[in-house]
Parts: sequence; C-alpha cells; structure tokens
Amino acid sequence: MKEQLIARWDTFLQNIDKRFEESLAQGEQAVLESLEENDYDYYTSFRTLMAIRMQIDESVIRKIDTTWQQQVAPLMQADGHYWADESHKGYQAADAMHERMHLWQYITEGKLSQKYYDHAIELINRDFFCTQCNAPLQVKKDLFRAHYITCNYCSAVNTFEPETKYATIGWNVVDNLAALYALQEYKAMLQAKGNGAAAYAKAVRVYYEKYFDERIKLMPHTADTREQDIEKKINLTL
Amino acid sequence: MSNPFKKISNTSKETAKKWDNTKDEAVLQTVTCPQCAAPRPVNTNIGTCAYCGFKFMNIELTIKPGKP
Repeated sequence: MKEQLIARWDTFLQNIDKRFEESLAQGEQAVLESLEENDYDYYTSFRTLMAIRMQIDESVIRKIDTTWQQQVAPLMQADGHYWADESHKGYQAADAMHERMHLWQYITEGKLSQKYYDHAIELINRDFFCTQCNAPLQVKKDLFRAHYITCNYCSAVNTFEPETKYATIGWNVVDNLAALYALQEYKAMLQAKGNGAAAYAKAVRVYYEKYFDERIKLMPHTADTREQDIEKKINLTL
Repeated sequence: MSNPFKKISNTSKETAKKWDNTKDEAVLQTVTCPQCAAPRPVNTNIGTCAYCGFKFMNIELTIKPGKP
C-alpha cells in the first residue's frame, strides 16, 4: 500500500509540474499576443500578465496543497508514519514553482516591454517642424517626455509633447527592458543568496551596475545620476 | 488547441480604463505673447515679451537652451 500511495503521489507531482511548465509557456504567449490585440495598450497587457500569474498560482500551485490535504494525507496517515516525508516533497515542489514563476514574470515583463518598445519607438520616426518658421526641428529621440526644442533658424522655443504611447516607454518599459538585459546578473544575484552576505552584496552590486548601464543606453540623460541610483537600489535591496 | 489564457486577455481588453488625457499624436506648440503674438526666443526673460516688452508674468527667469 505504501509504495502504491507514494508512486501515485509522485506521478501527481510530475504531472502538475508538466502542467505548470505548459501554463508558463501559454501564459507568455497570451501576454505577448495581447499587445497586438489591444492596439499596443501596455498597461492592459501588463494587467493580463498579473492576472495570468494569479490564475497559475490558484489553479496549479495551490492544487498541490489541496490535493495533499484532501486526498493524499488522509490515506497515508491511515497507512503509516511516512506521510511527513511525503508532505515535505509537496511543499518543496510548490516553493520551487513559486521561484520559477517569479523568474517567469521577470522575463515576461521584459519580453512584453521589448515588443512594446520596438513598436512605440517608431512613432517618432517622422519630421517635425517649427511652429513659427516651419524649419525642421531635431526632436530628442531618447527623452520620453515633453521638452523644449529651440529652432536653429528663428530661435523660437517650441514645446514638444510626445504621444502617450511614446511617453509610456519612459515610465516602466525602459525599466523592464534594462532588467531583461541584466537577466544573467539577476540570476547570479538570486543564486548568491545562499553563498553568504559578502557574496550576495557583491552580486547585488554587479546586478544594479549592469541594470543602470543598460538603462542609460536607453535613456542617456539618466547617466548624471548613475552612482546615486545604484547606491539607492543597493541600500533598498540589502 | 486554443490558449486557455485567451479569456483573461479578452477580459483585460474589455475592462481597460479609457483615459481622457492621452495624446494620440505628438504635438508641437509655441507660447506666444498675448499682445504682439511673438514667440518666446531662447535666452530671454520668460515673463517679458522679447519683442514688445509686454510683461505677462511677474518673475525673473530666463529660458536656457536645452542640453545637446
């Protein structure tokens, strides 16, 4: 009886892990496809991502606990004392899934941001002219907010206000893109958690240096505050 | 097989908030003097018209050119 119950429990955990992996892949696909379907409404796709995360948590990860409590534990407890080890197996599987889902969200936010960026960055690829003399104006292509542009011909100060989809790049999109480009450093930081305080502190610094360097490539004007930004993030993390 | 999360993305789309102050097109505009309609040139006092001297703000600030 013991071997049979353990074998059934192991099969259940294997199947739930397979379903979890499939859900992550389908979830990523749904999030990325939603961006085209909602005409590149970034925050609507972001809400889709968060809802899918909750759905996977409720319908897959929590299934381990409910199955254990309602079906497996009563049978094993009636059969012997080995149930405690088997219970531990279930909790370990759920914890591992939470960690994988955290990383999935990190990567999917990055991929969603990359797709949005590739679309929205093109919106400004056209000519702009001075409202006073109609001379061509040089719009700053990596400043995702309203700014003044002085006409080189008549010196009039023009106020440039980008479309909202373009300005959105400068809100969360660049942050998630920089995070995606620093993925290897992020994984190293997560791994370093178990290697002692000094190793973790070093990994945190390496991650935030990479993160802010990538962010500066997307928004060069943020280079002025690089050191302060890195120190602030490190202090918040440690 | 259809994606089981399609329903979630459809619901997100249907319940998306419609913001009033979004801009569908980039806009360029120039603040002009209410008296002579001249634009504000760079490196001039922000509160006084550089052309006719009309004082439309009671402050002493200069418009600096942006960083290149």
